[in-house]
Amino acid sequence: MAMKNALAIHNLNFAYEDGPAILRDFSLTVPEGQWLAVVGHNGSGKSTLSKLLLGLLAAQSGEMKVFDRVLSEETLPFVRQQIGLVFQNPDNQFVGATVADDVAFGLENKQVDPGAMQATIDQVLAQVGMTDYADRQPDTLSGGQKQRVALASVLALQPKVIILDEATAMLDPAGKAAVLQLLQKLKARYQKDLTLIMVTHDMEEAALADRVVGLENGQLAFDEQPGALFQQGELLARLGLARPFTSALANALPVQPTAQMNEQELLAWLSASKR
Amino acid sequence: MVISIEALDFAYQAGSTKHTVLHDINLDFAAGQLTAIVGQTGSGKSTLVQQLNALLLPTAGQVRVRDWVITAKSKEKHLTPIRKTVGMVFQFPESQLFAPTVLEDVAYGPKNFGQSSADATAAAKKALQAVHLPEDYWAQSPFNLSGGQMRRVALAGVLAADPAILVFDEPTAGLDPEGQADFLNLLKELKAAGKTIILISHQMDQVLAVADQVVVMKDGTVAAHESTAALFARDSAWFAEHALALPSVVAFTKKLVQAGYHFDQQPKTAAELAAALTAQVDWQLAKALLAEQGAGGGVQ
Repeated sequence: MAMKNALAIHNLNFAYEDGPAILRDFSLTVPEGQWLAVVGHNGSGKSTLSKLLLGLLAAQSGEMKVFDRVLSEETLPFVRQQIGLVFQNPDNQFVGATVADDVAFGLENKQVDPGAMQATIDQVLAQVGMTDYADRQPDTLSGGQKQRVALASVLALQPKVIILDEATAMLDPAGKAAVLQLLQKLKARYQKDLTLIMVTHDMEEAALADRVVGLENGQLAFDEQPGALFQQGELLARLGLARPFTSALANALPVQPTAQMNEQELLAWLSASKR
Repeated sequence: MVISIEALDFAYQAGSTKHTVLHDINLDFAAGQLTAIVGQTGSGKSTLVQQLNALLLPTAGQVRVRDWVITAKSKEKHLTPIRKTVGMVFQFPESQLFAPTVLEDVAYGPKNFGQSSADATAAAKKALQAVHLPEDYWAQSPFNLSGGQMRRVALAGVLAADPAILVFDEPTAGLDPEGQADFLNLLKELKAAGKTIILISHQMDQVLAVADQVVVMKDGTVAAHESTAALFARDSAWFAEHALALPSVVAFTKKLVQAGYHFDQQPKTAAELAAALTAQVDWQLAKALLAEQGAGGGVQ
């Protein structure tokens, strides 16, 4: 059976009122089950893209398909059912008085049978490792814990696509590591039933994805696998992206491996070559 | 010492030991130094810096800023000179922008400290130049700017009152790598201009790049206060214990040391590390090993 596309964006144009073009004839196809990282400058249109997909903004021209249905007023409820969104600021996404209430809120909106609700809440809190915090007030949680609850609330609605809009940018290293570990676990569990789109500045985060696309001036500046991207120092610099450390070090040595080496390979090579 | 903290305790509800956030803090900050404050979320970093300009008053102990002393009994009316000396840049400072134009927003601070409208505007222009915001933007609404630009406007608002001491609470959170690099340069310029700087940061590579001293907070106490070099000489296990990430360049340097390499001092960037490695590697051998692995060996 042929692979379905989770998203198919074709010739999209968007500008805010009286503003410059944010997306210009922008096209992007994301196969079902892909883990995609979207990178680019602040203001390159990354976040605008998520808002367009959820119908929070309207494009001036072009077409967006979500699982083969063209985004329109009629299909918007279907589209919103398919896509879950986790934002950057962990403090801006809570409505419930407790962690469990917060997860329940989305389910109530979806008019899920109250009898079935508790099982779903238990299940998603277990998935994100927050079972012990069900009765806690969200404001007593750390940033990383808040983002895991935000993910649980999204998971409860069983979306096929989850967009993470710089979801780890405000977290400390421990919180960030916990969220990234969780994403890897979810991806391994749901396989092709979960498409992950991660809007990020963080190259270590982008390295987890199957594919990295870069936005520049409203268009795709590149479309690569992470390993291939990290070798292109000039491109990364032009897009204001930090080159991952191992790649930067390898590139600065007088003799350079032509293939991308990970940290262990680089260390092994240098250790064996000591004078 | 321009700031001295002595035997400071702080609890959000005085008298309740249950809510003690800071315990027995003793710290000195020297003039002209850049001190980074690091530690896990919830370790008390933000609460600590809010004592430095009396936004929060200590429950016990005291903070001395120049000749002013802040204690539990300090009265609001005596705090103005302290607030003028210690400029505070909070997390996401752009959320505090409010005026119709960039210039008016930046001039608000000095006006508020009693400067005439003309003096405040002159101070605002100087501050906007210091943060490198091009003049084209000064008459625009601050809300039309990019995230990095808005943050520079907010910083200019604090600089305009010309505080001798600057406190930053995670100034680069949420900025793209380019915005972060810009900000780092700005910190270096402020330091060169003689400012005393206190910087809360989770980004240890930033700490490595700019800090003279580092304070490590853990559970409301000071776990370490030492030079940046001394901190990064500690072993990896210590960093893990204190929930601190080692910058990639430091982690990799430590592994190379285990493999027998030697470094006189901690390289701060990949390029510095590469330079320090060059004389210690047998490059003929390195090339032969690459050829064996079929991984090529482009020679520069």
